[in-house]
Amino acid sequence: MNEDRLISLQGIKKVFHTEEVETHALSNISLDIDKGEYVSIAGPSGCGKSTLLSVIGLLDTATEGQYTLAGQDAIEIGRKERARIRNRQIGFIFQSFHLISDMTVEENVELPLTYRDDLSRDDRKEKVRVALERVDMVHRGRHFPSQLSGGQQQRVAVTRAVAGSPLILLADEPTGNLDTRNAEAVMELLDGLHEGGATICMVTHDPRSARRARRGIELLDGQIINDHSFT
Amino acid sequence: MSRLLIDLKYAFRVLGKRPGFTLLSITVIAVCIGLSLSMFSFLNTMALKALPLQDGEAIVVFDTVVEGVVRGGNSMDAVDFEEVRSRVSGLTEFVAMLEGDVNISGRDKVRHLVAAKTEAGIFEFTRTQPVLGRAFTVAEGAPGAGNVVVISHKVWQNEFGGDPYVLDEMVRINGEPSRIIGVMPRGFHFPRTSDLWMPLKLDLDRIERGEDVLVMGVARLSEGFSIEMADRQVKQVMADLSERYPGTNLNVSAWVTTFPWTQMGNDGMAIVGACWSVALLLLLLGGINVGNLLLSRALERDRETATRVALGAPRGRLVLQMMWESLIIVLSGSAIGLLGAAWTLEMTNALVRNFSEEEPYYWWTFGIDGFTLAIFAAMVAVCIILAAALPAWRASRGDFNAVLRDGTRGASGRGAGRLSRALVIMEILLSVTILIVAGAMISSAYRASQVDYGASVENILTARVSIPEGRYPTAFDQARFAQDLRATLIRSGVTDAVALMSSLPGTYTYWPNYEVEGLNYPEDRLRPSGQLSTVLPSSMAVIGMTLLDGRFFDSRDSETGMPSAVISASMADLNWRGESALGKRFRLPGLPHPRYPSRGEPGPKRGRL
Repeated sequence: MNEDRLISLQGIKKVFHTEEVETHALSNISLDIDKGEYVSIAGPSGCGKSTLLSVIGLLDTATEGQYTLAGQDAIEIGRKERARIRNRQIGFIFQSFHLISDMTVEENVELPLTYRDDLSRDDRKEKVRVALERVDMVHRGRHFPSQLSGGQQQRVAVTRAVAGSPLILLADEPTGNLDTRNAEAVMELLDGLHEGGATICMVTHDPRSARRARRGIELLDGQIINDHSFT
Repeated sequence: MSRLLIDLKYAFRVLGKRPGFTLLSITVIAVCIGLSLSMFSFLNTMALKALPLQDGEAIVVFDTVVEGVVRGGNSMDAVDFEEVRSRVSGLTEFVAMLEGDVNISGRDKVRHLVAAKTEAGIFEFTRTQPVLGRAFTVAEGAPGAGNVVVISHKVWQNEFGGDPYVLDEMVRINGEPSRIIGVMPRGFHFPRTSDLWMPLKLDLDRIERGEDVLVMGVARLSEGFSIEMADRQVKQVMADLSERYPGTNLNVSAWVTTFPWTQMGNDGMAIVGACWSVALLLLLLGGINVGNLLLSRALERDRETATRVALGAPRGRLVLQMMWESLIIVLSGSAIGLLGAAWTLEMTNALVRNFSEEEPYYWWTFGIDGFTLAIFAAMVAVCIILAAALPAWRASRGDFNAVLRDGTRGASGRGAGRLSRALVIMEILLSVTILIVAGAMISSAYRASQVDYGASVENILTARVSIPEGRYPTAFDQARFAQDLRATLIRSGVTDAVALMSSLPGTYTYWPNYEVEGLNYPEDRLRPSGQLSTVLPSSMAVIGMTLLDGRFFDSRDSETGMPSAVISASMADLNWRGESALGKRFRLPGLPHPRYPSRGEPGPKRGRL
């Protein structure tokens, strides 16, 4: 057993049934990701990138195959445990930011921490402060998302994802809704997190963003057609 | 705890940002709970609540049912009462009593009050003793004993200024001198509205069947017996009596019930059931309306829910968080509804006291009591399930993955859509049901208001006069009094016409059986019956009654000494269909003095009653 192995997918299949139509979103995906890796998953629309990310992030279950996350079987676990793992071990970054509009920046960042039993109020506040300082957003702590630019909202979303010190960050098109300048700022933020030791798995269709990763995986029709390192 | 506060703070913030929605939802819940609660509480106090006496839930009254029609008080033959007392094990502590109007001459004026003539032991029966003086004894109830009276706290205060030396003071009750021997506590008016309690001077052991001595029976349920069980026993006794004494007891039964329920009569259960059904439908409609609104809101916010799911929110926390807003709405609306119901019931108290023709029953204290609070808790629970738990539970079961992937809405699943549609269908069904029930009630009320009583109700003032038997012992004396009263009223110029009758058209009155001359009745039960009212000559014309045939009473009827009658069209149709009823004769065998209509001129008249 590789001590550094964080994610191991073996023969993963995902089939969607819509009325009488059967759609094979993922076909026999086998993939390993080690701690500290920065992986990009690229491919055309509908190739299964986001579905793969959902399976890795325990938001969806595979129809077939084996999935081991940090040495733990991630297939045969219940809803409650999946929620706990998502909360403790996985940080999500979405294309549409998915900040809660009626919560302030601080409350948004604190939200996943409130689902944990092992953190006191002071612990949570401290983690929020540290995380916001890291992205230089402390001064915006009392603001609501609607008062921020798109780039700032995504920085807050990244902060929310990392505040709980997860094992892996899953980013789904993190720059998809941003202009070039803000996209660059977010990518720099992810670069910095990776340099700090974070494991990142990012779905993107933007080749420039994909090349920021150290390893690239290309999908087509639900299958991995290329798995390579960027030099 | 801090997590709870976070969720609560967030819920308040979200509601505060949508004041219109919040206000509308709270108002709907408040109105529905307020109205439903008021209705439940009002009817419970009116008809179902235990009497506010010690072990009041065990106190029952039994009275007669003649041909399936419930008689309202003072209608049980005293001999039948004795039979029930000796044979029914489901009841105990029997007391025979009569409740009726009396005139009492106190220190400075004559007052018209309700009095109960009762067997000794009534105060032990009600577990209530006088606050001043004493109760009357068995000896004071013996025929020939001196008259004594126990007065209510209200009479003591109003007529005697709360004088602590009121005991042994003499008052005249219906002209008879009576000695005050006790004062009852404030609020005691057993059995219904009595202010005076006097011994019932009847020797029940010596009364013969057929003497027509009537009483009202009260008793307590024996240990382990329900009203239904006691009712069955009493009915069995009455059925035996009916078989043994068909001459007096044919088709005469009895029923055991509570005092509050007696006023509901034959249709009591239907009335209470209909009103409570409407109240329940209203509550369900409100709950489902708000539930649907909140479900729609929850579905609108499925992006937020999906985000929370992705961030690892446990399902329970997710549902609870979604419920907080609904709970705040439901609890706020419920609290306002409860306050509204309390206000409505308080207003009802005032309305009942100000607008009721008679003194309200002493148990008619409308307000928030234990029953109301229990119903309120049940209503809040129903609203929480309909408006909070159901929408939150359903909204937490969507396909949030799809929402997260493409950021679109409406991915909360077909299940949520089905629930929403089901709620809308329920709303429509309930609305239609309420409309139908309300329509039926309005229609019934309208029909009742349009009933032709056969008399004019315009520009007529009514008053009730009770003639003390002690001062006017014979029918002749009573008729003279009535004629004098009429003459005095007309002379005074208060009115130009006066009608005096034993009961007004459309009101319940004595309902004897009669026999049509020339007809044979092989079985007593075949004798027809009808309501009987006695009137002074010219009274019927004064209140606008019109004749279909014949004439009203005049001096000829009193001169001949032969009893005569004006009958209703329905009685004429029943007995003399296709021919004139004028001159026909019938007999009232149940009356102490049987009456016959006269034959020929002046003959029986036919009026519309």
